[in-house]
Amino acid sequence: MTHPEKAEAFIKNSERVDWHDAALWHVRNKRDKAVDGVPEWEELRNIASQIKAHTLANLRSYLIDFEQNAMANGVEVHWAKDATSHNRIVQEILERNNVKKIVKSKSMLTEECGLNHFLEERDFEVTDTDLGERIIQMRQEPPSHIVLPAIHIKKEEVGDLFRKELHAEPGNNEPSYLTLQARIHLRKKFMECQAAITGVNFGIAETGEVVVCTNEGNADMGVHLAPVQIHSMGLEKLIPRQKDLGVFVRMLARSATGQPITVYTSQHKKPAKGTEKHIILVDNGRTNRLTMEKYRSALQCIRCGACMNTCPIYRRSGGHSYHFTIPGPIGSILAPTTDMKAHSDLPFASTLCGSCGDVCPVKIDIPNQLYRWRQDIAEAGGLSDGKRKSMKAMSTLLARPRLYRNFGRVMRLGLRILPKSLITNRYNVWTKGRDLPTPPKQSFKKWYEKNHQ
Amino acid sequence: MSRKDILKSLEEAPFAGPELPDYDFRQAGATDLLGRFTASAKVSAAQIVHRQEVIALAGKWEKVINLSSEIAVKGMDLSQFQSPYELGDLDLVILDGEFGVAENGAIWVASDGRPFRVLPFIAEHLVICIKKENLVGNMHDAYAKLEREKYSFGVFIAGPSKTADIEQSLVIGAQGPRSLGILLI
Ligand code: SF4
Repeated sequence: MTHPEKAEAFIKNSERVDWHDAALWHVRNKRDKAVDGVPEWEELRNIASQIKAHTLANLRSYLIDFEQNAMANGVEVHWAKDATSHNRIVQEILERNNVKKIVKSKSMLTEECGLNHFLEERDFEVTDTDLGERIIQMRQEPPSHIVLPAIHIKKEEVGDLFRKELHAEPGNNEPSYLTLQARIHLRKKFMECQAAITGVNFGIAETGEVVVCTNEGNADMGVHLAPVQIHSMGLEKLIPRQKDLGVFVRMLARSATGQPITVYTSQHKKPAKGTEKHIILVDNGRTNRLTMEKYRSALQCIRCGACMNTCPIYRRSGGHSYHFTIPGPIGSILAPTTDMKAHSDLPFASTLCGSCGDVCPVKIDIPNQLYRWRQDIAEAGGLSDGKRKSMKAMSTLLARPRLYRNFGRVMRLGLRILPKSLITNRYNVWTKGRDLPTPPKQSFKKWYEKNHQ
Repeated sequence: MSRKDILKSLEEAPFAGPELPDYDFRQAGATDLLGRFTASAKVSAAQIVHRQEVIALAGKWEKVINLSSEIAVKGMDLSQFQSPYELGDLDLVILDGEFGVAENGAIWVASDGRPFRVLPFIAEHLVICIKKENLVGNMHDAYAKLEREKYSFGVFIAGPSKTADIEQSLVIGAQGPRSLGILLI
C-alpha cells in the first residue's frame, strides 16, 4: 500500500488526526523554546553538519581508529554488512553465553534489522524496556515515530492493553498509574535478564566509547545488570572526537523533546569486571548510500525526530502511513536509497514547505532531496499513471500562456457555477478530505494590472 | 567477511569532505554558575536538598547504600552483595558526583572505584552530592574537563528517570530512580 492509501485509514478518524497533530506540534513548540535559549544555535548547526560531513568523507579511517580504541578498551568489535549478518552475530553471542532472556532498549537499527522477530523465531525471549517500545511490542506493531514510538496511541488504549497483559485495574487510564504498572512489570524482566542490547547515539573514534542517551534509565538498567552487553551501531553514528559530543549532546535532546539534555547520557568505554561488551558496526546499505552524491548527506541524521514533529504531512497522516522503518521527511529520503521503486511514493508525501530543513540540527537539505527524488523517480518512469498524466497536462498548460489564461477563466467560472458533485468526484483525488477554495472573480494578472499600473 | 567488504567499499568510492572544524563555545569566566545550575536542576525535576533532609530521608528508608564521603549516614555494607541482581529492592543510594553543568543541571558520575555500575539507576531514590566549586558552564566545558579524565563508564544524570510515552504526559519515575536529590556542598 502507498502512503496516500495508508494515510486514508488514519485520517478517517478526524478527531484522532487533530489530537495527533496537536501532540506533535506541542513537541515542536518545546523544541523552539529550548533552541531559543542557545544563542549560538545556528553556529552549532553549521559545525555539527561539518563534523558529520567530514566524518562520512573519512569514514574508513575513523572506523579503523574506533575499532582499535574499542578493542584496547577490552570490547569485542564485530562488523555486519547487512541485517542478516547483524542478527547472526547477535545470535552467536547469545548462544555462546547460553542466554535465553534479553532486555533491549530503544534502537531504530535493530528495528531496521528485524532483530526481535529473528530472535523470537529462535526461541529467545526479547523484552523492549522503553515504555513506548514495550507498548508497541505488546500490540505487535512497529514504532510510528523514532523518538516517541507510541505517539499514535491513546491512554485508554494503553489502559486496555495493560489490563489484558499486566492485569492493571479496570477503568484507570492515568498515565502515572499505567507507567507504574509498566515499571513493576519491567523490573521483573530486568532482574531475570541475561543479556542487554542497546542502540548507539554516538560512537567516538578517538576513545572507542559508545554513548547512549535515554530518559527512562532502561538502557542502563539492562547494561549494568547483564553480564553480556551488545551495542548495535550504524556506521554513520561515528564522530571523531570526544570534544564533538559537546556539540551533539547539546543539540540532540533540545531538537527531540525540548529538554536541554536527556536524563541519562551514558558513556560506555570498558566492560565491567566479569562481563563482556560487544559493539556491532552495521552497514546494511549505508556504504551504498554514501556513493549517491545527491543523497549522501541524509547519513548525517542524528535521529532527533524534529523533522517529523514539524512536518504537516507526518502530523496528519501518522508514522504508520510511511511503509519504512524511519517515517517522516528523513525516512522519505532514506527509503528510496534502499529501493527506489518500492518507495517511489514517499518523496511525494510532502508539501515541500521546507520546515524539516529549518529544524534539522545537522542541516540536512531534506526538502531539496525530496524534490530531487521526485525528478529521479519521474525520469525512471516511477510516477503513478494519474500523476504522470496530470503533470504532462500541467506542463503543456504552463508552457502556453494564452491557453493558460483561457483555462484560468473557464476554471474560475466553472468552480463557481458547476454543481459540487461534478468537481468533487472520485477522479479528483485532490478533493478527498478537502474542499476547493472559492475562486476569485478575476485572475491575479488582471488584479495586478488594475492595482499596480 | 563483513569487515573486509565494508572497508573495501569505502575505499573504492572515495569523496572529498570538509575539514574537521575547530570551535570553542566554552563559557570561560561564566558567572552565577550556582544559580544557573540550581535553576536547570529544578527544570529537570531534581530537588536541591540540605544535609538535614538527606539524613532524614535515610532514616525513613530501610535499604540504604551510602557511598558518599561528604555525608555521614549509616547504610548497608555493600560487600554483602555478590551480584548486581541482589540490588533490585534498594530504597536509597547516596553517592558523590564529579561535577555539575549549569546549562542543563546534569551531573557527571563515573563508575571507577565503586562496585556495581547499576547503583545510580536501580534504587527507588537517589541523592548525589557535589561540591559547589565543581560546576562548569556548558557541555563544552564539561567535555574539556573529561578530556583529562580516565573512566570505564560514566554518565551525565539530569533529574530523576522520566517518560512521556503515554500521550505526552510527563511521569517522573520510569525505570530508574523516582526522585533525585542534589546536595550542594
Ligand atoms: S533529518 Fe535532521 S531533523 Fe530529521 S531526525 Fe535526522 S537529524 Fe533530526
